[in-house]
Amino acid sequence: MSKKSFEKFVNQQIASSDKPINRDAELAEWQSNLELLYQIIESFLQEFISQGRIKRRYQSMQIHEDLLGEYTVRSMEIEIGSTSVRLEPIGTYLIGVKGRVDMIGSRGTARLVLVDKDSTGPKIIVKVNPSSERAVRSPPVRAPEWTWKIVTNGTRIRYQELTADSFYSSLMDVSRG
Amino acid sequence: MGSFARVPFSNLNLDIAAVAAHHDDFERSLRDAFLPHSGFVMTRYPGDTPYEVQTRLDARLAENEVGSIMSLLASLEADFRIDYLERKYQRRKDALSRCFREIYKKKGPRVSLDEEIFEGWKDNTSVPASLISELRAVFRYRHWIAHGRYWAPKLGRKHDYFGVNTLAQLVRSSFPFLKADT
Repeated sequence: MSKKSFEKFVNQQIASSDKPINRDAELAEWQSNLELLYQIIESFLQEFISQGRIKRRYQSMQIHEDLLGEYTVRSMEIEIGSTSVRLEPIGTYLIGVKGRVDMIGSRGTARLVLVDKDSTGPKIIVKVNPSSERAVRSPPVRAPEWTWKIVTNGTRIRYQELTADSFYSSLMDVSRG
Repeated sequence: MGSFARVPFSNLNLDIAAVAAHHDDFERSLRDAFLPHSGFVMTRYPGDTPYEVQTRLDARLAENEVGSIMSLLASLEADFRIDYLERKYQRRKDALSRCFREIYKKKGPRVSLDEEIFEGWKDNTSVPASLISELRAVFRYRHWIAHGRYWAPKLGRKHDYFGVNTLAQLVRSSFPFLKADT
């Protein structure tokens, strides 16, 4: 390992420490997005809840993420007769998504992900620099607009709009296979 | 500086879609097999409580995840290594190809995924440094699995199949990999 490599390493570590995260703001944003998801789901189930045919309750749970430390969020439990489905938040510092909640039933797990409104699957644009000179990194086209989507079943991960129909379908999938 | 023989490609490297299909089929089969009153449970685990059956199922599902993660990362490693070799063989002019050819002169095909290939992508493409960090973290996890999980790892995050599959698809659909020129 040369001194040049070590110097590069030192510079990288200093550069990355120059961008500290605002833990409180990040956590507040994540919790606000979670509450928004629960509101959306409650709106899908409202008719059944008011008729007493579906019950829902919330529980506190702890999540640990390296960048945020330990924090408390609410998980949601949906009871339909003898069937129970749990919506469990996974975290906000994840690969390719801004947040994720797993919908866990006895027959499987569906994923709800917080992604840009135009995103249809995990993808970014990577360009190889044309010459040995370091190219200027492409600026982002626009700031992302986060929205909850549901991951479709299948061998390729695809993000589908979170609608009442897509939610009902996923809930039935994880409950009865 | 040495002379290195060209690596013959097998074309047997597994595609991540095939890994995902295998994973999903196994998960569904396990869930069917471990239904509380299935023939499998009645004959293999007679006398178990529903909780014990569920615990066995959870353990099988967890190991299915680990096996699928290993296959996904092996598939991804093959993509990176084939690209590395093709950038040498095809003699392209871009910065990444030049970087890899310089490394090849010294190391040939026996190159470090973490220290040289990932570093090359980081320095010579627009790939975000955070994505390279994710790749390094997930390959550290693979190292821990591959070597028997006997030490307490400092992995930084909990890795699961969905997260690794998302990363694999993100890389596969975003990185301009050169394919084997057969």
